[in-house]
Amino acid sequence: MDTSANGMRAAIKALKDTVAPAVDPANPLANEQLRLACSYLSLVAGRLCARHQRLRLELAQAATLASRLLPHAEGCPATVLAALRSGIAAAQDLQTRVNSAEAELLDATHQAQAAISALVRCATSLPTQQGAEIERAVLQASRAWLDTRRAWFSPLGFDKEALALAPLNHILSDTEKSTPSI
Amino acid sequence: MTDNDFQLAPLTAQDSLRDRPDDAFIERMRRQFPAEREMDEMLTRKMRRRHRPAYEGANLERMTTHLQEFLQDHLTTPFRITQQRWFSGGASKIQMGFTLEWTPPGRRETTTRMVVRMEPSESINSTSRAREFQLLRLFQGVLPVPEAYWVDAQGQWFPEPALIYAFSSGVTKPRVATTGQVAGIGTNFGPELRARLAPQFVKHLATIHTTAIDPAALDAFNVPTTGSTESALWQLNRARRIWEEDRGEELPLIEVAGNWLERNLPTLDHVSILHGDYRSGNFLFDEGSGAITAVLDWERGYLGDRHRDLAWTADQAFGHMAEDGKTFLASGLMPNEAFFDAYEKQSGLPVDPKRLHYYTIFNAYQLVMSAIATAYRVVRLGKSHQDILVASVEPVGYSAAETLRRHLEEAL
Repeated sequence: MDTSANGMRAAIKALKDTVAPAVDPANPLANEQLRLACSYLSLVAGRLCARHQRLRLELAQAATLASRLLPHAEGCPATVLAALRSGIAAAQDLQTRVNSAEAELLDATHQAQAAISALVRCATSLPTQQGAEIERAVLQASRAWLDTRRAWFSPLGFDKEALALAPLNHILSDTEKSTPSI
Repeated sequence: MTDNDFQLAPLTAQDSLRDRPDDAFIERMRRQFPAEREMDEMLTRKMRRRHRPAYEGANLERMTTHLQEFLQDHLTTPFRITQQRWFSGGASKIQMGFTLEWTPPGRRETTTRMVVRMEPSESINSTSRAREFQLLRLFQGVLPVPEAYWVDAQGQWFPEPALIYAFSSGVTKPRVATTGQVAGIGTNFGPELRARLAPQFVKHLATIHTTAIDPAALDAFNVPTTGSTESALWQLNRARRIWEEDRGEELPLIEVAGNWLERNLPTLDHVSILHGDYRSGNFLFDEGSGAITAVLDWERGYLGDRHRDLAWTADQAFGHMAEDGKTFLASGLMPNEAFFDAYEKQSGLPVDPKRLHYYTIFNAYQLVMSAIATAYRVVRLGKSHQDILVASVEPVGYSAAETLRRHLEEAL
């Protein structure tokens, strides 16, 4: 059993019940930051259990996009092509392993995303039609990635439209919808 | 942008260089992203000081000591500082209110309520106190603005560049109002107050944009050339540089946006002074009379295209739906079309839908920079006095990114 969320809830309770009454009401910075700290800790406590699932989803999204872009990368520098291929390979390897460490997931996602970013930067040097296809594919795939992030942070209340999104647990469990085809 | 370094940067840039940039990294940023002189100086200063320890936090005693030393070097008559207190409400600045008993030059001894305004080590928006000071001085007597007394442009007396100006009376929102969580974003003024505020709001913006530019009074600003894309490119380069210097992860959507913005740089027809953050939450008003008493937060001002300001004021992030549930109110004051019509009449300057569209996309791009890239780095390195607030605005960046994505999908 992991008790991290339990401990965080205890921390929030301590801040609200014991610390807050002791803070000078005439110090607006202290009061505002205390409120925000409790809110953020509450977010993390509620999301801890879904963290690994989210990281795996984002890896899958990056790998799928990189795979779909590879056929459109002809004419790019060899470095970019190689990075796309190795990013895809690393991601696919991790996806077959059940027990991947978080650091590995993050690193592989970063590799794939970096290769995609480099490809998009090269798109301006490619024939117009080819560049446009790359850019449109990225835009389309970005929606699912953004939906995940926005749903993740929606309890903080800073994103007015986030209430319209599917609940986070639906997004995380629905990997098929999260990786659209070109 | 065809530079090979730029294209391959996502594959080669090490994140450790963003935490502790070396001279080569800093110079590469300056070379790849030429921006306005003052912006270049500020961003370079930020990067050169990035390796310093985390910000210690705002402390009234320390701030008072800095203020004391500053005033000792700037006043020739005795003075006393009292009633120091913190102001909150913004996502980027440290602001200490105080009362100064002093004798202004050529006048009698008096008591003035003032504010010291300063950035922490790094802020969610790196901005210039020198520019802010020059704009406040320029508009003194022309618009309701706080009187600006002094500026420590280089951070000689204060730990960072600082500005000292008069405290202004008024409120940013009605006593009974719904508002967003940061800096008065999305304030609902209600129909009656809205009707009184809106004409003033438009009139002041028109004044800002049509005021003649005196290069000597605004020497912290570059004056862009009309008939060129220089102004838009400077802003794009600044945003791109911030992305390269601050981000914690790759976001390919941002690269698509950067490509589109560069392909569609608008030509400047008229150089305007821009406020840079003109919206609800950045003006004070008297609740009884409905008169705007002060236009605030001039830190993001620059010389350029008025459509940057117009698009910002009308941004979805800063307004809300009217009571009918279907009319969007720009900055909670008036429908977009009414706002642009009124602006055209007041200013005599046309509103170009194409350039408005460009800057709507650019503004969303810039919001992503601040809320996702810069916010990440500031919090990671402990560089501000309110890291928890900076961390909390990350979702604003994702919301802006979705707006950006939708606009680009339509455009491409």
